[in-house]
Amino acid sequence: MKPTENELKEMLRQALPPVRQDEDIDLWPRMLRRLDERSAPMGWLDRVLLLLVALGLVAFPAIIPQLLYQL
Amino acid sequence: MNTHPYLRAYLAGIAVPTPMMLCGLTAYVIARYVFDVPIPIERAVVFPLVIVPNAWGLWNVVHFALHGHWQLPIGPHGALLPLLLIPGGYLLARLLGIDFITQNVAWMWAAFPLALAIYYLAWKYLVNFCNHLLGVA
Repeated sequence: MKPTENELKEMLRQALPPVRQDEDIDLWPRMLRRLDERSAPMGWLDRVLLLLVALGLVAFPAIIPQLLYQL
Repeated sequence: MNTHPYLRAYLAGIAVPTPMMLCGLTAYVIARYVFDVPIPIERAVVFPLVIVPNAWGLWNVVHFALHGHWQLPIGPHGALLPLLLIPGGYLLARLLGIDFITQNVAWMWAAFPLALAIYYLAWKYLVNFCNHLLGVA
């Protein structure tokens, strides 16, 4: 006796694991949440360091090709 | 998201220098083809395009692998990378005959402290952000 279409569907459902539709599969919402989280602000010492780097590049532009190559 | 942490650390590491390569390559192309600066561009791009991004990825894997053992904060850890990259880049420049690097050794040494500072900041803020994003911070 051949199974009916509904019986076939039921057999397939029992044979296959259920498809998960939570965030275990879709990682994008988790990524968006992390993007929204505020990172720590830059400390004053790091700001000074960044300023010194900028000044160094302006004062010695011949360094720039070296940095572009090495970094 | 506990799978493949080393792969995620590698991807977080290369995510920062890869977009910067576009800026570097654009600068090379403009210098070479617009201003006719005699740069052997085909040889000069090998190091920044191939070695540097992979080095960032692998260095971030090392940082992740050292977690719980002997681990520096990520900023100083990143600042150590130019100590490998700059001599390596110079060696490759000598092998490939890239004159604008090998004939300006004084500028290469002058670039050292700036490179350390740039790497310190880039790793502390950009790579750390990518690590956090990919769950390997």
